[in-house]
Amino acid sequence: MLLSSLCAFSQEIKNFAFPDSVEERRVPPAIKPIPPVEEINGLNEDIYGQLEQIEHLRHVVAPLPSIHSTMIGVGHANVLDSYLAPYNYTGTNFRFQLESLRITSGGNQRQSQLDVNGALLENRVGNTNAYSAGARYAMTWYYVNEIKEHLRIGYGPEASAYIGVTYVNRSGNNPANAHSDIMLNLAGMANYDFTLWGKKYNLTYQLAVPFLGIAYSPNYGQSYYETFVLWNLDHNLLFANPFNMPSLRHRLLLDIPVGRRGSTVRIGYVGQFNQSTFNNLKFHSYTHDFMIGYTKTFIR
Amino acid sequence: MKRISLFILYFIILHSSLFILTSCVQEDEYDNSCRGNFEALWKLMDEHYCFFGYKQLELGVDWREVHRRYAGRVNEKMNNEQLFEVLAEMIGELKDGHVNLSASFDYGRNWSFYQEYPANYNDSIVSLYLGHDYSIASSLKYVILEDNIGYVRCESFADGIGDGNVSMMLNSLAACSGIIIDVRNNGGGQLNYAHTLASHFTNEKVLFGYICHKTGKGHDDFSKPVAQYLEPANSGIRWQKPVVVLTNRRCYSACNDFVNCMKHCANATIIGDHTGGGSGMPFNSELPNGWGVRYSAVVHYDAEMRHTEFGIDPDIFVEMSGADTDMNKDTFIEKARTMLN
Repeated sequence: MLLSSLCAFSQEIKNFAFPDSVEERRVPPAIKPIPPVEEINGLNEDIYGQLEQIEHLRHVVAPLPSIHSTMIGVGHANVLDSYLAPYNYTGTNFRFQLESLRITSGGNQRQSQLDVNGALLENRVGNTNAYSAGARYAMTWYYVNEIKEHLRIGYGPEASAYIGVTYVNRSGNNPANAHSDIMLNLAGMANYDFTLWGKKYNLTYQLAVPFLGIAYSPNYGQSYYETFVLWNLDHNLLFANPFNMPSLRHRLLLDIPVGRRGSTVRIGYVGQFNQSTFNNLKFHSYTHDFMIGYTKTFIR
Repeated sequence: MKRISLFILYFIILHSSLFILTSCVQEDEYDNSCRGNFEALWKLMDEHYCFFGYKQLELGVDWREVHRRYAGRVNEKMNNEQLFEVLAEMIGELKDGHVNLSASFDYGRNWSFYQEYPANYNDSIVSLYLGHDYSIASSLKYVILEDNIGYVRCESFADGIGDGNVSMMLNSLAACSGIIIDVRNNGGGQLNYAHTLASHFTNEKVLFGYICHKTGKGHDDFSKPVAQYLEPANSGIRWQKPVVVLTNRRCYSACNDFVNCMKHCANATIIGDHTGGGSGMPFNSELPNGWGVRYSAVVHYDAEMRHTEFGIDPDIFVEMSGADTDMNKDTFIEKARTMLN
């Protein structure tokens, strides 16, 4: 009786194959209880290797990690806001990113990110200062495919909300301009694990581009007195798409394991190219930042 | 599901490629040279100034002809002062007090709106009326004259004027048979302060004008004019007795708008000289060399959709009399007192 059940179990293991697609992986294969090792002594040696695989599979399916990271960075900013001045202002950019990435049961990823930046700027002759600041909250859902061992790519939708302001240090009726949008973006990522000097590193590249949404912009010569004192709105809420908001945000991150299990130091580059052409007004904010921070992995 | 995934992937690749290959949102950059600064100023005004149509009608200003005329005067051998002189003269063609060029060594302007006219104001004489014991509510100085007329001197709308300031002042002047609001030499400030003061002199919501802005680079690209109403003050005191507003050619910008509002208040009479105007709300920008540029960007019309850029007529014209000045009397104030008594 015992022998026949073990034979059936062994056959099942031999027929087991790892799922190829995400859809298949979302439904974990039914795993029968593993009999105590003592009961299978004396059987085919290969069965131990297959049992280890099952044990491994059980761990892959059950615990779901959640990775939290905090980063700060500094870099360069180049801002044009033709509502304020028709010239580029350049200077130093500071960035802060707070992020949480959850691996879902199907191996996919859900990422939420708060991105805050501030820039100290001046015009090209250095006689006028400007300040630019913004905050974006984004939630991204990546459908992940493992295309090679240790290499995964993911793509999916992203919902984001942004509010920002540029202020030029001179008096007048147009000293500042606000930028705001609520967007549905499309995002992609590539993730690669590699081992170096006996430690596991992780390299991640992420990219997001706008797809559809609503954005705020003043009209060409509209004063904020008209907008916010008189409430005379004139094409201030606009349909945003890749043609009037040809923007791109991307980042390259390297996780270096340190100290306790699950903690890494994260270094990377964040580049954001936010642009818009609303109401005959041109805007761009190009930033390049070197980032440093840490990540912690929690098992749910 | 697979189709959606592929669509997202293709879109990202396509969009990123498009972004990299084509789309850098930039403005035309001009060199920081004499020619570059000249062209930058001309273009900035050409695309943003809001009164070209009106100025062509009133003054015969053709902005393209202005370019032709001044372009020949600019060469790379000019120093900063010489370039400034040419550029300031060019924008001076518009005869607009809100159009200015500012450098660290000079301020380009055309203040012909008052410089070519009698001052109709003497600060020393006004000081005699105020005396030493006048009260101050924000930027409003006020006193009760011997004949029980309240005199209010408002030099600017730059400092905050709230309902509380105006109500406390009117409360102090409650026993007066009428008040004089002297806004001569008031060069403007914030529109909402001007409207706050005016709102204490009407019991009804009254149409006093229209406002519109540019929507594009063309000289005639404007938004639909939106009506502007003066609402009665929500809180505090509303003045129910006669009020006289004193004006001269230096009533400009927000003060011009205040006079326009007061013209629609039932108990108000405007006495004095034509106002200076300045109905374009100014915006600021700059040139490649960092010089600041100010220009009119938003148009205000009166209730009949007429421009008030060149000022508003008073109800009663008055000029300062030399004889009065010799006797340390202000003709405008004396005329108002006669009316209110």
